[in-house]
Parts: sequence; C-alpha cells; structure tokens
Amino acid sequence: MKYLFISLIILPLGVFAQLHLQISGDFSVTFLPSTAAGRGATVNSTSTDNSGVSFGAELWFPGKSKKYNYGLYARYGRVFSTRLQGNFSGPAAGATPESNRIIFAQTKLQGFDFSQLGASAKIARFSSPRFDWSFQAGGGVSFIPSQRLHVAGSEFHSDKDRLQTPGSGYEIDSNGIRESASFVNSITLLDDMLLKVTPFLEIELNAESPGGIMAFLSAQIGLRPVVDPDLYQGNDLNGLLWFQIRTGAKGRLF
Amino acid sequence: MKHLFIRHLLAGLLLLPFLLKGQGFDAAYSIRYNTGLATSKIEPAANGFRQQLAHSTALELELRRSDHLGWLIGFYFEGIEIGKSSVFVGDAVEPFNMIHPYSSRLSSVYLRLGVQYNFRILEGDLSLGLLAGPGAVNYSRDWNVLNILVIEGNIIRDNPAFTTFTDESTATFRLQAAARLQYTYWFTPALAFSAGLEYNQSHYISGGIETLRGERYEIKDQEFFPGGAPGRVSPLIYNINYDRTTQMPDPSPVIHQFQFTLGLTCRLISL
Repeated sequence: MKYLFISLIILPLGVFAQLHLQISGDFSVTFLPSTAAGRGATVNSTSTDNSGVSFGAELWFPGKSKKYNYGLYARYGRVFSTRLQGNFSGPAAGATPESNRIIFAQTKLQGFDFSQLGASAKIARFSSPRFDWSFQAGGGVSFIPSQRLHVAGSEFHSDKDRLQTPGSGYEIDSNGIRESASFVNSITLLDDMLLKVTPFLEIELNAESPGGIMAFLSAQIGLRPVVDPDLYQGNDLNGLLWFQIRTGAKGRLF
Repeated sequence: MKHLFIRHLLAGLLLLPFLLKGQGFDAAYSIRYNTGLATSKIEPAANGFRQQLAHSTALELELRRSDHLGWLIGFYFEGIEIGKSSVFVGDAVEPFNMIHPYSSRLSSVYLRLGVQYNFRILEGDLSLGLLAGPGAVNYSRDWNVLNILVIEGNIIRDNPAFTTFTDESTATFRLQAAARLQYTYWFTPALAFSAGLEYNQSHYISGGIETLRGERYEIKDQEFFPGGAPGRVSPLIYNINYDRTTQMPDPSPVIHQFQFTLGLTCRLISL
C-alpha cells in the first residue's frame, strides 16, 4: 500500500525502483552582503543574520558498491528578513544650475524566496552504535526569482526649507537614478537587489538512524557575487558572497 | 527580555510530555511553516496602497490516547510585513511629502490550544483541527529618514542618504481562532511531513490608546516624529517633514488569514 501511494503521488519516479527518495525540511541562516551601518543621527544595524526555512527533495543513485553515494536535489526556501539597502541620488527633474534640485531614494530588501538545484556525493562514511554518519560535498545553482523590496524617495530643493514630493516618476538601476518616461509620482527599482542566478558549493554532515531518519548540518558558499556591486556604489557594501548554514531533518520515502 | 520570555515558553512546551508520563499518551511534536495566501490589510487605507506578506512558524505538541482524537498545544509566531516597491496602475499620491516613506511589520505570538480529529488514509492521517488561544502583538514602523546638512542654502554633506528610524508599539492583546485541514504522511513510524490549509482570525482584546480617530497602537519607543518635528541638529539637518497627517493602523478590526501550511512531525515514544 505504501509503495502504491508513493507511485501515485510521484508517478515519474515509480519506474526508478532502485532510487532512494528523501524529503527534507530545515531552518537556515543566510549571510548576505550588507550595507554599512546607517548614516545620520541613528545608527541602524545592517548585519544580516537572516533566518529562513526551506523544504526539499533528494534522489540518491546506487553506485557500483550499491551504497547510494550520488544524489540530485531540489529545494525551495524563504529568507524572512534582510538589512541590505541601497541609497541613490541624482539630479531631479527640472533641475537647473540656478535651482539645485536633487532626488534621493532608498531601496531595502525585506526578504526573498529562493530555489536551488544541485548534486552531491558522499565522500566519507563512518558508523557509531546508533547512527550511520556521512560527509557529503557538492554544489548547485540558486535561483532568486522573488524579492520583496521597499523603495522610498524624495526631492530636496536647496532653496526650500523642507523636502518635496517628487513631481515626476523615477527609475533606479545600476546606472543610477533618473526620471521615468512612463509614470509619475512614484519610484521603482528596475534591477534586482540580489542576482537571480548564483552557483554555490555545499558541504553537509548527516547522521542517519536505522529507520531512515536523518539529521543534518550543512553550509554553502556562493561562487560569485550575489549582488551587482554597481547598484551599491557609494554604499560601503560589505562583502559580495552568499553564505548559508542549514540544519534540519530528512526522511527516506523509499 | 522578550526573547527570554519566549524561550521559557518553548522550554515549558518541550518539557510537557515528561510531566504527562504515565498517562498513556502518544506525543508528537510538529514544526510548522505557514505562508499567507490572503490576509486582511493592516495599514490604514488613507496612507496609500501597500504590499503585504504574512508568514508564521509554529511549534506544536499533539497528545493522543486514541487513533482518532488528538489534543493540541503550541506556540505560533507570526509576522506580517508591509512595504511598497514599485508603481501600480492608478497609484494615488500618498499623504506624505515623499514617496513610500515607511515599511512596517506586525509581529505576533499566540499560545494555541485545540483538538483535531484524524482519519487514517493510506500511510497517513487526514486531520481536521480547531485551535484557539490568546496572543500578544507588536507593531513597528521603519521610517526612511533623509539627513541633509545644509548651510546657507548649500548642501554640505558629501553623500547625503536615508537612515532608518524605528517606531515600536507596546503590546496589544488578541484572541486567535483557527480551523485547519491537513494531510500528514508517515514515512517512518517516527517521522512525518504534512501539508494543508488553515483559516484563522484574530480578534482585538485590549491594549493601545484611545485617540480622536479611535483606538490605535500606542507607540512605546518613538524615534521619529512625523508632522514636522525639527531635525535632531535643527536647523541644519533636514529630516522628512510631513505636510499632512500620517495615520497609525487601528488594531481593533478582525484580522482574517487564509494560509498554506507545511510541517515536519516527530513522534515520541508512548508516555
């Protein structure tokens, strides 16, 4: 009955009777590039020990030794909050040498979802009385399609004593901030605060019980910057890489 | 202090099965993650349209003496994040003299008690659960505040930029009730994954202050004074001055939520 159920749910995999399928759930902390502590009267922390959760599925293939040393995985996760922010300024619409008008904007990354595809191999195994331990290494690609942003903006006229509601719309990208031709009274970020695709390396320590339940601790590091540094020029960007630590549980379906 | 309080509550929940030893219960802990599919608007409409995202995590203990009926106790931590990122068709000018001047967050923790009825289907349980319990809610608002040093009409600071001032409310108290339908698949006798749907609604009980506009979140720590308060190094540093009145959310409306839930369940040995 169990295998009938699994076959119905995961039909395409039913034909691969020799595979192991595992499901995982975990808590994570993701260290992202951060902008320097906020300027001005109040110093706001921009450290980025961002917590999150993720869920995944893994397929493990038997090698010649029948020990299931090679795996492929897919996972989906969410990072709840970040402190990555970018500040932008440029000439406001209608600025003249006589009228010094400047547009200021700030973008904040509030959180994001990510998915990962990767491969892993068990490179060492050892046993204790209660658990089978394994050490695995691999890598993959992170996709960040959904980023939750907050964008704020205002104009300043040096000859006025207060900030002004922008009379035009503005667009921001790695070339800076400029007037938009398509909308008014708003401001938007055309680029992503985090790049959509980032390759990474991952190592993992697994402890498996005889019943097929596993606890794991893993760490992954990005292989290229997860941000476009041009977007943060003048923002004292600290670091460029993605680093994530995860711990959770896995269970073998079959 | 707040985190210490929550840790004590969680430690108490983790120790509860040991206090019930000898009572003949089967005990199972679940860690849940819920993501909001639909959530009531938190910010006042007068402040303009904003995007919202709700998500929550929960630690829950189920105690069973029979195959079907389970008693639930758990802590439910929820965050509703509100911000604004881009242009919307028909976007109205907001009642501020800047665009999108703040982001905000409603943070909650609830103690929920409940009962669920489990139907055995294949290798898992289809569960219909009802939960309710009191909670404490805190509202915070991050203001994007621009600091510019101006002397005799000239901008002096080399790189003027926004900084963040956070206003935080005192706790208000609410009562939440929830109904949940989920399927829990046991792929070993001790470990299961679950997925389901939950509807919950939260009612205001007490807290906040009475103002001319009605009851609202009371600000405990206010770093920023909208409405034209002078800059901190007035008059040379200009913070954002508001021409019109900003509104805080009213905590009294019922908050409705429809959520998708995922969980990981670990069954303990019989107590």
